Amino acid sequence: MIRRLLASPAGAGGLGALLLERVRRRFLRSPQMRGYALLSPTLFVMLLFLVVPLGILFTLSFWKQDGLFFAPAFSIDNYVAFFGRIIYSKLLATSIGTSLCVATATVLLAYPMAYCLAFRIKRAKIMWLILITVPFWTSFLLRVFAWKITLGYQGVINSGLMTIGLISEPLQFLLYNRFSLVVTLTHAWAAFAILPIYVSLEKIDRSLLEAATDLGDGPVARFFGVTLPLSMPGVIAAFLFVFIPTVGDYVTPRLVGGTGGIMIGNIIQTMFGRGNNWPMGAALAVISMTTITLLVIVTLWFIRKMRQR
Amino acid sequence: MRKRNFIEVRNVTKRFGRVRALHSVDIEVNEGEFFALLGPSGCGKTTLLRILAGFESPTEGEVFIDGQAMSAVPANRRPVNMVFQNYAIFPHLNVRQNIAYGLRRQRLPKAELDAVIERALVLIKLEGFGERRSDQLSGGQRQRVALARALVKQPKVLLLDEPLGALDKRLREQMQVELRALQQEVGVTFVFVTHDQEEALSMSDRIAVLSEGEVLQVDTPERLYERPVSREVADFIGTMNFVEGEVEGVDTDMISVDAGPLGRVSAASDERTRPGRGARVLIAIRPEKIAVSRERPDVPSNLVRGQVSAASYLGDRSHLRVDVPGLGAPISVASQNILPLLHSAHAAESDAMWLSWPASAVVLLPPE
Repeated sequence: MIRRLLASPAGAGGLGALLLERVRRRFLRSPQMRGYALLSPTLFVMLLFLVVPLGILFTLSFWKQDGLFFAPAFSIDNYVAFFGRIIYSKLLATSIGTSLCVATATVLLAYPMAYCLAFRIKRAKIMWLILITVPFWTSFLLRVFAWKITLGYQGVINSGLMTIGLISEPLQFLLYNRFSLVVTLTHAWAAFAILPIYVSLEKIDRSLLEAATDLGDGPVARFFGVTLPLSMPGVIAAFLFVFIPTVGDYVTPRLVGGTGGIMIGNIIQTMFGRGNNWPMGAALAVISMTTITLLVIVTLWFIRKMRQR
Repeated sequence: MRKRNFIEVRNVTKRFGRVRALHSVDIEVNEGEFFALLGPSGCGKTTLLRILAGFESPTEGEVFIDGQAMSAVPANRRPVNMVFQNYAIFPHLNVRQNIAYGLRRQRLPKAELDAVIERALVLIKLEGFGERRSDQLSGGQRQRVALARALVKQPKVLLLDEPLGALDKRLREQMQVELRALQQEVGVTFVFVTHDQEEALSMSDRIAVLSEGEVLQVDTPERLYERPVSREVADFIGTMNFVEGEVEGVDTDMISVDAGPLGRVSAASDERTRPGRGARVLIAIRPEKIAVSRERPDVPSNLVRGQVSAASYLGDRSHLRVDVPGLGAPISVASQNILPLLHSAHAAESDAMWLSWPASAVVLLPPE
């Protein structure tokens, strides 16, 4: 193609086509370029709907609310306000604490299920996998309301316990606190934790387990010596899958958390809603995002260090 | 004093559902022996090894190791260790931690543990590799780590599941020698599964040949090759020429057989094969025991004339296929090229040649 173009009288059109051809070839030849080309639709969506809003949020956090309008002048007042009022950082800390509880509880409950699925169930695995996702066929809100009904003042647990006469009046501590929040979220995230752990367990070469047995390990020693360390990638992934989105959740705390279960997400939502202070909300969002990112990075770095030892 | 029948496999049958993997297998292995389980894939040799290791339990029968019945002993308490086919090196641990894995329970003082590991690393010639991870090791190195990991447990029996199968040819040959030397050094009883007959012959003290879940023969490599008990064994190990015949006369040390197109064949009789007069037998002769010559050798029997139908030159030896009139299949002959062939008149295709063989080379097998 190129040779033919070179041989032809070098008209302007010919040269242009030649250039285009060259660029095209270069792009298609390099595997990296081809990779980017394949990624480009996703990359475009990510840029448009992730990076741009983040940029807007970031910019907004340095502005100020002026009645109905924003005052687009650079100021760090919002950040000063965050550190000035202890309530914000306290709320962020409790949000992170709650999320750690939720993530830990979810992973602890998901692990046995994933283990059973990977090692005990031999037939119809796909059916069991689908069964695990069944709760997701209903809306998230419905599942939260189901917990409300279960844990409520006149809910399933209370009326059940009263019917069999174990208690004379309904238990108050079941709903509208941190406990009900953790229970609801743990249930909501279960499948997200089961699947990555299942995948990492399924990947373990069974001869490694036999080798551990052969070297004298009983079932417990083998689990802590081989199975658990080799499934750690799945455990870490599951933990992060649950932990990260939970910190920013505001629907569940609103519905089952009561006053004690308020999280940073609720304040951010209020700022963008009734509070009518978008820049403050943006600043809170940026701060919690940064905190989570730093936490995750430090944790991953630490895990890596531990691995290298 | 080395104990005889250190491992006893007594009447072991293993069924997986309807599939019969082993059928009343009886094997005895002596202490310190290098014992091979040889057979084609699917013959049950790996199942037998896994029964010894305790990963499978026999449907019927019992296994004894050093006099102790094993059926009630779980895999993690058996005095055996295994080298797995894919070596099963723990990927999350380095070489040192892999070797130390089986010793955790003993809670040795650190200095002692280090000394044990260091000795093991010297034994497998991997000094200085202690900190490497399995993905930083070559196939041969992984195999040696798997060996060391099993040997530091000081097992009574080491089980090896096709340990050389994953290595390339050159490394495999080197490891055959090293493994054999290592076994002599540590003196542990090795039970070794392979489908490679050459490997089994070159490394083992004794070999059990298995086929379709049954033991066909247990013998030393020499006897297995020179005196197979059935056509199946003879066929599986090396190449063999088979001709049917009928016993004409039985002498004290000689049996003469009428072999049709091959004329009269005399066979040295041994204690095991004493067929009666008139019995049908299968005459078996190894290709390399047959001598080829242009002139008629001066012998009364074990002699036939044929025409070379194919000749291939393999450097150290030549393979000939010789058609003998009246015989269904051509006779395979392997002749050592001791003298240079370049100028000599060696056998070429369509040459007529005399084939002869000593009576001691003839094996009489039961007919099909």
